[in-house]
Amino acid sequence: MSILKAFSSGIRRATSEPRMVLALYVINLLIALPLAMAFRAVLVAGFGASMAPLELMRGLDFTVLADFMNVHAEEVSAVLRQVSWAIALFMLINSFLAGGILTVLRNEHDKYSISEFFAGCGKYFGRFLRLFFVFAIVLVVLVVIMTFILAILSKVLIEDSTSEVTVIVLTIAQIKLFFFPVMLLLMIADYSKISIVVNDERKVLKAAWLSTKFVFSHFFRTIGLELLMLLVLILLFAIYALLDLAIGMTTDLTIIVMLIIQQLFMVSRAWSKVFFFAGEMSLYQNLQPVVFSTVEGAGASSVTELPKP
Amino acid sequence: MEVNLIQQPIPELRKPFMKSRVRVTISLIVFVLAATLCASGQTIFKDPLSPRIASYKISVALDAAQKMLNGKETLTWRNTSTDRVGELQFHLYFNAFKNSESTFMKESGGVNRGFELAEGGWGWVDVTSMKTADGEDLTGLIQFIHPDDDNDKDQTVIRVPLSKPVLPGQTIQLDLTFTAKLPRIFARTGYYQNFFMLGQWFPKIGVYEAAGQRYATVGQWNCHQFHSNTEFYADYGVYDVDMTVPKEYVVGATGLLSGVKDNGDGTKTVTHHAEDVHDFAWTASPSYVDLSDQWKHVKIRVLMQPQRVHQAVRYFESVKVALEYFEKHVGKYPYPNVTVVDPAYGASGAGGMEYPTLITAGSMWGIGKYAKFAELVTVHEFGHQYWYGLVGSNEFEEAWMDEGINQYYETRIMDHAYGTKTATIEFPGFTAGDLETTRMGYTGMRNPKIAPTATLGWQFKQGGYGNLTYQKTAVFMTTLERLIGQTVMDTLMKTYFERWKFKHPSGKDFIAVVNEIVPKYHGNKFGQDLNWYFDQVLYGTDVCDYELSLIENKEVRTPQGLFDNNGKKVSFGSMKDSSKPAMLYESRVVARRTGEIKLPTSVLVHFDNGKEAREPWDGQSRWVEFKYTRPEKIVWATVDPDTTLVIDKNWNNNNKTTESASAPIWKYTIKFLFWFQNVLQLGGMVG
Repeated sequence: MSILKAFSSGIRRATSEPRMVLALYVINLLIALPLAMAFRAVLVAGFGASMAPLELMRGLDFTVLADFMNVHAEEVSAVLRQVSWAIALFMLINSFLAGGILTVLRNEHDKYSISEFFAGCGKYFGRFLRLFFVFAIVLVVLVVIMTFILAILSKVLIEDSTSEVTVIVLTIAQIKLFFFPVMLLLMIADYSKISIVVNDERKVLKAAWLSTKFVFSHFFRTIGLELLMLLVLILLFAIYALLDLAIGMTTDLTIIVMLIIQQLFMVSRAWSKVFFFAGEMSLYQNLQPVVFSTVEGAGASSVTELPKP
Repeated sequence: MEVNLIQQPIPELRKPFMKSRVRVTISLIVFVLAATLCASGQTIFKDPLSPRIASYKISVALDAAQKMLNGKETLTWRNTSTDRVGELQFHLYFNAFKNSESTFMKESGGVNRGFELAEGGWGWVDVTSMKTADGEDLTGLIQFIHPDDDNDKDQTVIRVPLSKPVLPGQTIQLDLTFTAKLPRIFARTGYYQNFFMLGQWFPKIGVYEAAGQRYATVGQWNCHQFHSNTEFYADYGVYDVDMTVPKEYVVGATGLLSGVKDNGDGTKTVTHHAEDVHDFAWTASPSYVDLSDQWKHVKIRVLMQPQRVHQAVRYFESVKVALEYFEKHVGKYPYPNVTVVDPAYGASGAGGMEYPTLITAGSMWGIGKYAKFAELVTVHEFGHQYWYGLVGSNEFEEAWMDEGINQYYETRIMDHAYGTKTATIEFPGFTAGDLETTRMGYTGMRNPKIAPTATLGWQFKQGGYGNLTYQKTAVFMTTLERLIGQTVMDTLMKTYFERWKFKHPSGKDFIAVVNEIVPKYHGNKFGQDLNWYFDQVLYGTDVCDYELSLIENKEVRTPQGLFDNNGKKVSFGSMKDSSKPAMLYESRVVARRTGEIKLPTSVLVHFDNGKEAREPWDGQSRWVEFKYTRPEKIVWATVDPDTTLVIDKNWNNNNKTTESASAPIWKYTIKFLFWFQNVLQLGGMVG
């Protein structure tokens, strides 16, 4: 199957599940909202009845911001400290939701239902949680190894260089070199989840191993698709940035307009989550065809792999 | 501070020494003339601009491979005091990099502006011989001293006792030879591969302060050790310096180029001549791209790293901006040239430094005009030509007079040329002006009371040197400017500059000029003098904060009920009237002084019909209340409405409104929500 086919299939599948996309968006919003309101409370308490915030309507006024932070840095830090907890919570929730998303995507011809979605969430949560820890460990190991390798490279290539351009180019290259394996790992994690759902695999290590094999045996297709899908994400960001630049948030009306645009963008981010899974699943199912032989009453599917075409 | 006192009565000694005094004076004149004519065939200034107390003729050879200097130096020093000076003191500043035990290394921990001393990068200087003009060898008499601390391992200052004291008005000529190993650059001076920046490289005599000069009560040498924070104080003179370097090297130096000689052995000797300067620095590298431009009488030379040539225009532009501004608001730049050095990559520790007619800046490949650090550093370092170069402030003891006043001019020039909101950073959606970032450097301090600004540079033991000498000074100078007006400020700074150029003023000399000029324009508006101001902002540690703490509007209701009138009870008003809108409001605002610093200010009160009332307040009491009974209500009020008090540590509490400013709060709540949602989504990719 070509990358483009998987890509278009991903778009089609993600777009045909608006209710699921909306549900994902709402969950994201519900987690973000309390902290945003806590942040607002810090601003309200900090500024009180001062007119200083009016300066912020034109843009981020350095003096107003600096004076505010000089007095209220502790309160702002307290809110920001909660961000990491919220991210951790959202990661867990994502592990939970991934099962539902992939179940719905797998059963392409079934009509989407909340019960099917949450049944999928519940069914795969345990396996995905184990998978999350496996990949978290691998990620940490990978980061340590990459840091070590890049430190050696820096010493050899950069330390005594007199060419600033060389140093900057090499540093950028190193950053890219650092993120590529991380992206690869996250992609393998996605295919592992797909493998677990599609093949109803209970052994997460086996799923991870098979997915790794799958990614490397179809390296350019999997990477190509991933990059193509990332391009969509970048495009969405670019559109948002252009709108933000054009509209700004300098009046009551433009604040409301930008709020709507921002939240529509977040819907598109939720859509892109489904889109990534759908594209990857499409590629996976086509390059790794499987036969489902559902065992009635067992509540699970046993899967037999067919030879690769 | 430990000092050496060498003051003796002179009258009975004057006559016997007269002959030798004349002889030495004549020999000085001959030497200066000969040196000047030999070097360049012409002088820079027809008449000396400075007292020319310490003049040098130096021949130095750079061993680029071994990173060594071998030099011969002839110093001519004139005793302008009425004391018999029995010893001389010199700076040997490369010894600051000799080992971990130097005062500089102990203070800095081997780190300067984030740059660290590299393994094996030590540097040192040895005076291998020192003789008087009549051949007396003083080498064996050299002693290391440490006038600023009890660190007997520090070798950055030497004293040399003289067998014959230098009499008042007499000159002494010394011939020195020295060898130096350059430190690998991490702080200001040294080498990095084939880039050489030579500052504080030769044995340099200290300043002999006669009784009454600055804070000296008796004649004494002012010759401080090399410190992490401070390093400059010297006398003016004439320099003729021959620098021998590999033939392919480009050389930049203090003063004017007066000759280049090919030595035929793969080296060349470049000669520079400088007049009325108090230091000499030079740089050499085969990689420089040598560019130049002209501004009025000043030749601007930029020695650029090849990969950053496209950034040179920013240096030229900012030097011109600074020259123009200083000439208009302070005084004329007298020298015919200025050189800007762009340090090599890997030698950034040499950037952002000032030497007479030569400054080191700093740029970076790929950094656009959205971050104006190249301009900012250039303007700052050029400004030192005035407050360290032309006005010979003692940076060791009163760093605020050099760094602080210079920082004040940096903010003025940068904000004037590049915008009050964009002079430092100009990203879309986030900008900052120079005064803004400078002010934050002070107001953002965790403990602004850590020390007074008027603290000896090396005694900021708990940090805060930069914030309190650079930023706080700039902030209180701007506050002063806004209190007295820019015209008066310019007049006083011009007066100060003209009066003290080529001299060594103290803080009290600066304040004396303020006290002389301000009353001329403002009478007794600020009192008989402004000592009260400097006592608070310069010599004190108090902070300034005024706030608008209350706005209140109360309806004035018509009296109701029974009132006695000629023995009868008369009914007045009706309860029904209470539902009618009030005709009058009894309103009040309360402003508070929550800081200790007391400054005159005002309160601006804005009513709902657009009328305003401006109430002067001397700022002395802890709080002040203004009451109004008017048909209109107060909508907002602000203390210090013209933001005169830049030293106020929090401007956000300076005003209040009765109409809530909820839109901006919502704006940033919404922005926070949006970016937080995105961060969650990013984290979700891992989950």
